[in-house]
Amino acid sequence: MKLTRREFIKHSAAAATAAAAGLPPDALGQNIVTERLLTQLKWDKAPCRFCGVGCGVNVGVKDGQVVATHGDINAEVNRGINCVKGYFLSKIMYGADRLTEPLLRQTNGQYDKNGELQPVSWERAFDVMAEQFKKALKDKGPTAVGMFGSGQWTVWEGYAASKLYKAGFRSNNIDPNARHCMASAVAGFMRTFGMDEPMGCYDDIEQTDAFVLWGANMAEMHPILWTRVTDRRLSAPHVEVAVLSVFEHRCYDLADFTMTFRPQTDLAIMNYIANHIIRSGKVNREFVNRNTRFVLGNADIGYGLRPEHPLQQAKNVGDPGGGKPMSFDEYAAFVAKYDLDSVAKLSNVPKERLERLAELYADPAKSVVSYFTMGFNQHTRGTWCSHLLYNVHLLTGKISAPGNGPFSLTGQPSACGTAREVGTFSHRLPADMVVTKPEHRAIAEKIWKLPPGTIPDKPGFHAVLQNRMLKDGKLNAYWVMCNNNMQAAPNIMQEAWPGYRNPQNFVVVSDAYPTVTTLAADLVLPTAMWVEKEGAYGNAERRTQFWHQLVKAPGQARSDLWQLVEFSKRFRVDEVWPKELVDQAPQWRDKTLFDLLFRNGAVDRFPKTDLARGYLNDELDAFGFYLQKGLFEEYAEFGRGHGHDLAPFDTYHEVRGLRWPVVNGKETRWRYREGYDPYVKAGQGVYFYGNPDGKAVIYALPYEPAAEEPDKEFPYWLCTGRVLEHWHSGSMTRRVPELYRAVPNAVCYMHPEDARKLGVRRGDEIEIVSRRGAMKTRVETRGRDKPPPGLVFVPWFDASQLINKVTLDATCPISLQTDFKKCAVNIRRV
Amino acid sequence: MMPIAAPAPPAEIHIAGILVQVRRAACAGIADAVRAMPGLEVPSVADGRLVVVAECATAAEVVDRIDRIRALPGVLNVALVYQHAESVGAMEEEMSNETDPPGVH
Repeated sequence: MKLTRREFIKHSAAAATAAAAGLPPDALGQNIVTERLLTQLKWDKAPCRFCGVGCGVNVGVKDGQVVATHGDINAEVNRGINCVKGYFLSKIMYGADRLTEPLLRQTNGQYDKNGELQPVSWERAFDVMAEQFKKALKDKGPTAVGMFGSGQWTVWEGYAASKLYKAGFRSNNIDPNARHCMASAVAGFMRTFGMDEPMGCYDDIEQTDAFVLWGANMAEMHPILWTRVTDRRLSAPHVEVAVLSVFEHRCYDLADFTMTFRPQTDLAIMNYIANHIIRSGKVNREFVNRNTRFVLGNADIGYGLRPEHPLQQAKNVGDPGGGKPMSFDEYAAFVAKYDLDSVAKLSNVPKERLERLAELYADPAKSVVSYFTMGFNQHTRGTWCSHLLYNVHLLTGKISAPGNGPFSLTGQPSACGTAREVGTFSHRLPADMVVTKPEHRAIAEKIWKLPPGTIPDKPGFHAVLQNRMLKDGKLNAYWVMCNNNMQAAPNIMQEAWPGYRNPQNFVVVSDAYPTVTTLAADLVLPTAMWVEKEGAYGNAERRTQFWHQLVKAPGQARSDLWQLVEFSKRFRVDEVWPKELVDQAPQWRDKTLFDLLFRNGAVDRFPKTDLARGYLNDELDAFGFYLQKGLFEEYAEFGRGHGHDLAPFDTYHEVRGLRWPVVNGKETRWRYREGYDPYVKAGQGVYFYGNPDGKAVIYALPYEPAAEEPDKEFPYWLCTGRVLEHWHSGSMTRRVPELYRAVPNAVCYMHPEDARKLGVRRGDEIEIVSRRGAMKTRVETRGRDKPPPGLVFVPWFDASQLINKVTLDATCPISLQTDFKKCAVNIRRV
Repeated sequence: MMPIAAPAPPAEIHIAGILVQVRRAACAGIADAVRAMPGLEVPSVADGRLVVVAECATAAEVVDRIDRIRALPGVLNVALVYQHAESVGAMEEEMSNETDPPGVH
């Protein structure tokens, strides 16, 4: 039978889809050996490079170019399916305006902050950049240099960046865009369990009796997990789905009951549930006595604004994370005031729904998984949100067991694997360690073969503070890599833009495409992406996944890893370190940071021959050793033996990811539970070994109002977020013309009644104004997102409509993550 | 603020395999509605699941079909399984009879 490629591919598409659905293929498809199609392409595995779900895809390469992808049937996460973003994995690398050469602001061939961006060689780009970094280091010391990194960095890129800054430049001013995304989840996990990241995994989905979504629009943001939730709900009729949000979205379609609550009152709702569990006698006393202790957390902690702001005159602004031990009875009395009547009134949620939700958690016969993401994390009390949810799971013992537990979903492909596990935050080191603890610094200095005292002991500038310090002229040489922070950061007009354009500062931006951030840069470096380099990501369920380099990057584009390591050659150790430190390690005096950090006998110990046959590796060609393997194995030393164990490097190229801790080749699905977690001993049952006493902390924390709430002058809540078709700031998905047309511009979703009152109709142009800035957009009263009266929702992917001109740079004072979900605005017809 | 070029795509054929999850009672009606859309076939239907194959001239058309499927009452979720895009010329080549696929699958 003769067939064209087109016909083959159509049958392959049908067969692959049927297989993923668990359905038999169509009649013709059954007769086709789909493998025959594969002879025309070279196929390899890779994790998707978009969100934090971590789907496995098969990537088809023909003539050095990616032409096809399909969901990997062998990947446990997605079992052969993909979401619509997966459609653009192959297109995303081939946008017409891909950056292919370094661009420097110049006038008459000289660097000039007010000049035009003009092509230069890598040599010249790094010459100018090194000069600027050396000047900042010389004039003001290590705190004048900084970096804003990414949850899209590969594991070794984040590790190399962190090492370059914390060990090389001796600056802790490195923070990832994950700070905007999940810092509150990190703080919550660390404070309650003493260890970051969820205890459970996606396998909970097929085993649970109930799903509760807290500020998570999974149908749009995590569609593959939503596919699994949908399958579970439809195949097991007893399963319930509850959705809580501040506006109606696509998840409401599947929900058995929904709650659209007044912004910020999630705090009160969770305390009400705890109160209900206690009053109805449903506390799992044995679990609580054995595995928890109670702490009254500090209240009145401010809103993470600049110190002179009136809201920062709060009582506990100096100790937002503090607290004191309390008893169960004191805790019960604390939550007693969150009764059904008052919480229903405060939250605008009908009493019967609140009761139904509380009973879902209280019922000992029902297992419950709670999913949370940006609605919780981007919250001026984001850390508290995590705590209050853990409280509910801990009071009932519904945690660390199949089908039971709180689960933090992530927005970026390696927010967990890179930002959190490598510790690219301004206060962190690898494997949950922090720069403020001498014993942690000592461990890092030993593994990195550095003299004691190399790593600075104070946290560096976090994301929002970096922009403030740029504006204030205290942070002067700054490298932004793998993110679009001019668009993503809050309060652009008052902080970010004046910071980047401050004449005292030199700002470098590495990216694959032009963005609002590259437009604000002094030097733009072209970056290789996804399968143009060898990589590793860690997804939301602790799964570490690798891929090989499959194609070459265009033009002069180079990976972030190459950029970091090559740049380190520009600095002699004695140019960067003070004399006293160099005297402790005289062997490094005349050497470069490259020698110190990457030719240290550990990172450079794996030869070229270790690379699997048939694969490219541009970094190996450039540096002469297997850089990725050396970095990974050095990094893995931090976590092995105490709960963060990773498998050997080569294993990950063979498998579809493994969930850490990986001990004796076995991954861990449920942490802290005997029988699943190798760190829990026989007879312990549940043991929260992240804390020295093995107990999780139940924090008593109150409802407190948002930083800014609607008033007469600014009568609407503004909530911002993502949409399915565009991933985050849209700097990549907006490159695909087809996707660009699917959702051409951002709109303002509002209730038809609000539109009527404003005298506007669907499609009319409006201006959204806050105390900080304004932006123009158009009215949308239909469609997927349906806000209640008094609240509007605007996605932030659109570079031509920067909603972050309007947002407030208030943060959770504990996690330092911005609240992009709540500020007060006015709306007027244009 | 930012110039976003939208270059004209070269003549291509886009093929996609799409999985649609629906409320069971609505299954037959949704399958008919999908079949009525240009460029779409429904080779398999069972248990509230539809296997849909799209063949379109551009990715925009595929995304449009996905959006239109998702907008049908009773549709709970639309997922992509397979996507392939190449030039029309490459797509019309006859398949060879090679059997050993290189690389991982």
